[in-house]
Amino acid sequence: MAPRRGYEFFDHTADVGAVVRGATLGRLFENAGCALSDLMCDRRTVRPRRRVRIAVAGEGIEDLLVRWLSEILFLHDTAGWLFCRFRVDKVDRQGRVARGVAWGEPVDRTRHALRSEVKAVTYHQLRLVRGRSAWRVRVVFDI
Amino acid sequence: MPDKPAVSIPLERLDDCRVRIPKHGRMNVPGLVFADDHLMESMRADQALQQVVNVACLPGIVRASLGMPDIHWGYGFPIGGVAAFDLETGVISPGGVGYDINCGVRLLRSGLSADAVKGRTRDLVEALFRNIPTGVGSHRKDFKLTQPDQEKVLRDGAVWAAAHGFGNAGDLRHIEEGGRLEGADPSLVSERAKERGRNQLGTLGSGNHFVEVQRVAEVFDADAARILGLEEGGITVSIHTGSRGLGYQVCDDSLQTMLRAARKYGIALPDPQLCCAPVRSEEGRRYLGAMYAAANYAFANRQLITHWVRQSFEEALGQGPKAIGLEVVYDVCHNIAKVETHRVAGRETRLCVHRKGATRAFPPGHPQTPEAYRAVGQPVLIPGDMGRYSYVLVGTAQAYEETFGSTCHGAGRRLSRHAAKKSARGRSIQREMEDRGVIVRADGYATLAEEIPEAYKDVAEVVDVVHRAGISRRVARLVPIGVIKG
Repeated sequence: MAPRRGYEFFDHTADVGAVVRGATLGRLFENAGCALSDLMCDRRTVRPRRRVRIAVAGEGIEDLLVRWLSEILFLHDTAGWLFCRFRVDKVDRQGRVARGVAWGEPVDRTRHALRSEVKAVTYHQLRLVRGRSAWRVRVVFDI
Repeated sequence: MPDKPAVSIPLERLDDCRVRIPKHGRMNVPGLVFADDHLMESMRADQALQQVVNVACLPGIVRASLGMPDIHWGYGFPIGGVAAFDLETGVISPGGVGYDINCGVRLLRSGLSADAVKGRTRDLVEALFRNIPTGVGSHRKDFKLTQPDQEKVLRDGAVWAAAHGFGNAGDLRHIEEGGRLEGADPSLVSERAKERGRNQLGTLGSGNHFVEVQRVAEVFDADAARILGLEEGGITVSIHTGSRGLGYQVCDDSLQTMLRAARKYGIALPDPQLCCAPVRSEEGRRYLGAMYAAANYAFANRQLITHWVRQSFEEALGQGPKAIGLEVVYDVCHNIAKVETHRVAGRETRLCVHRKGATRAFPPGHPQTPEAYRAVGQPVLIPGDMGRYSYVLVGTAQAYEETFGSTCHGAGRRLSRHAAKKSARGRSIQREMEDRGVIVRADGYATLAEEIPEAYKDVAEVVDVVHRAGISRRVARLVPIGVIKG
């Protein structure tokens, strides 16, 4: 049964992974963004006060997903962004481009329930597959 | 746990501390793992041994693919692995260094005794927590890194920091490579990495990074301890952190390049995460230059934090720097690849030595062992978990002969983060730690639950193996009395 929120975490040695699903590729990318965001901070404590456009290019669908998630991480590390919601406007199956919008706000340590500091999105055994009813991927984060 | 069950790998126990993996299949050299029977059990379970085998398949690897007693599964290369490559025929691989380039440990000694700070530990911990930023949303108002200065940090590491009021020449003499890797090239670090690191210089980070106030609980080698300036009952401080987002990004930037390079140079990879390029290739040169720059960034990071540790002690204790006497014992890298000279088949040979979750352990008499310690060997700093102990050792001639002057770096996790959090549920970890005599302050990212002592293996067991194997020699055991975590 697909997890209600589109992702669930699993332990991977000292790190953490997420199984992410989506009825469409775009929805999978959105859910993956939510998974990463939830790993960094309880998304329920993040308000969608502002929005940021995200656009990334990739070399294949798995690489594109890593680029998408890495951009979210980059925005967090450089400008202190935390996100609670995503919308993907374009993602192509050849994995060349993904574009969308993220909603969130800058970190406020008095209010946000920060969780794990994520070093990187890894390529470890990363494979996007299309099942009968949904896209699915396992992605491991270096914590 | 990793995804596949353990594969059966041929093992030959050589003695109670060494296990050989004979050359087989596509291995170019054998494997050599330092472990007793107990440590070998957990190694068998998590595929670390298969990773030792995989590394042995890479071109130009010299003598053996090594595993330290704390070895465990990593991305491509195992954590706790050491591999040296011939400069002409061998490769350099970001997976052999890790994302946190030059994650490492610095140890400070002081002129204070545990008795002298009795009752003041909480003040010390609060001052450290106040003065040392941890990460996003936490920064010092009095420090801002400009872009021109960042270029200098990448080129000059701790040397830059000392020249700008964050330390002194004495500090630099007691850091691996003098706190500055020659050959760092800031122009090879991407703008993305620089941007990611700009607000993070002088921050601790979270996870297993920490600043810890300690007491020297036991001295094993009185002469060596005296030379290192450690005495029983003395107060020390350990700093464990690395290159922060800049280093993570340098690694990330390199991976696709190295994957393409492996295909271009016809390097067969047992695991794509072993992606690499010949050391002498353009790709290899570029990674080395960028990685050295990231390593310098980490040296500077630990130097800034040292300065704020000194400041914290002065504030908390109301004493001046001379009375407190915080001096650098040593500073070691745990994740690095360096070009070093080692004796191979009777000849002095330049090699690219990868240490991922491993520590350099140079012997007495080596020119890179600081002059003050040349009689006893290079200090080796092995942190444990926040509730038990850490160790100080020194390098040996045996290590130089057998492991390219390398030894262990710490103890890996025993419980996953989820399992640790589950175990900690309903407990006040802070209270438990205080009951053990350790004042802890943590904030932001890391929950204390993930870092509970029982989440980690016992570092004493790891240290015991390297000591008995003769690749490092125990000098002192330190116990925590105060810790700050991000």
